[in-house]
Formats: sequence, structure tokens, C-alpha cells
Amino acid sequence: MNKIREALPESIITIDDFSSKHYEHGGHGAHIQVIVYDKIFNKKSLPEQHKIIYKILSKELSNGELHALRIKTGSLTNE
Amino acid sequence: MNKRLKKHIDELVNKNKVFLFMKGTPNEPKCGFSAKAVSILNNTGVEFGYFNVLENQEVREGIKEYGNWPTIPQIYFKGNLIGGCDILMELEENKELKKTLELE
Repeated sequence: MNKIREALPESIITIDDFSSKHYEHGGHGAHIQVIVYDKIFNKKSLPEQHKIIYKILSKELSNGELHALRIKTGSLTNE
Repeated sequence: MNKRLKKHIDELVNKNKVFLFMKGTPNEPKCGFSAKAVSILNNTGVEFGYFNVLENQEVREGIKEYGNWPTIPQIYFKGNLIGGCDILMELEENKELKKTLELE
């Protein structure tokens, strides 16, 4: 959450941690859903939008801290 | 990524119009996200090729670099990455998936 906030200071962020529902996996790593709205996503394709989030969280994804990450992104307008 | 591996993945993603890198097989997915991707693709009726990354560690790691995408499943259309499970779900919810896959 803080990492996304640092990288995208003006975004609207919602984070849901549903790790506990996935105990059947054996409890490795967190299962997180992030919903992020930011102007940076305007006019970007969905894969480009998700890649921005993946990049921000690349360390946590590669070291196993984050086992599963669900992403939803959307653009924001100035209005 | 070495040239041989890149060529191998190039060939895979262009083998079928729609191509899925997944854990397990469509009949026996080994991960909830791969299972979800299969079910969404099946719902569209589209024919798709697949590769089980659990059977090939080199492709499993290589596809992350190839797609510049850190997770599996990955769905390709005409050789281009559409995204992972979340994007498929979103396209389906927004009724955009069939258009994206040129089914309508």
C-alpha cells in the first residue's frame, strides 16, 4: 500500500488482503487485491496499466512476499 | 533471454490465434487463476492453444521476461499479450472480451 502510495501519490487505492481464505495453499505469501485509480492510467491499455503496478511491487512479487496479486486499475479525470 | 528460448516462445504464441500459458492443463488446472482463465476462454467458445509451464521450468521463467509480466497465466492474442486472469475477467465483465478476441 505504502509503495503504491509513494509511487502514485495522487491515486485512489483500495487494498483487500484475502490471505486467510487461501490457507489451503499452505500459507505461503500474501494474497492481495489492489484497486488503483490514477491519472497515470489515462489512455493506457489494460496490460500497460497492470504492468505499472507489477513494476511497483516487483520486489515483493519476486521474493515470494506476495504470492498472489489481483489488480484492478482505472483512470481518473481532472473533473 | 537467449535467442533459442525467445524463438521457442515466439513460435508458441503464434501457434494459435489465442494462446494461454498456464499451470496445469485446461482439463486439470493446477492453480485457481489458471482455472479461471480457462473457464473464461471456454465461455467464449474460442479455440486456444496452451502451454503447461509446470512441465518446463525454462519457459516458466522465460515467459515472465518475454511478456514483461511477472505472473501466470498469461493470455496472448495474435502474438501479443492481452494480460493475465484479472484482465480477462475485466474484459468479460465489460463485454469486451469477444471483441478483443475478434469473435464478433
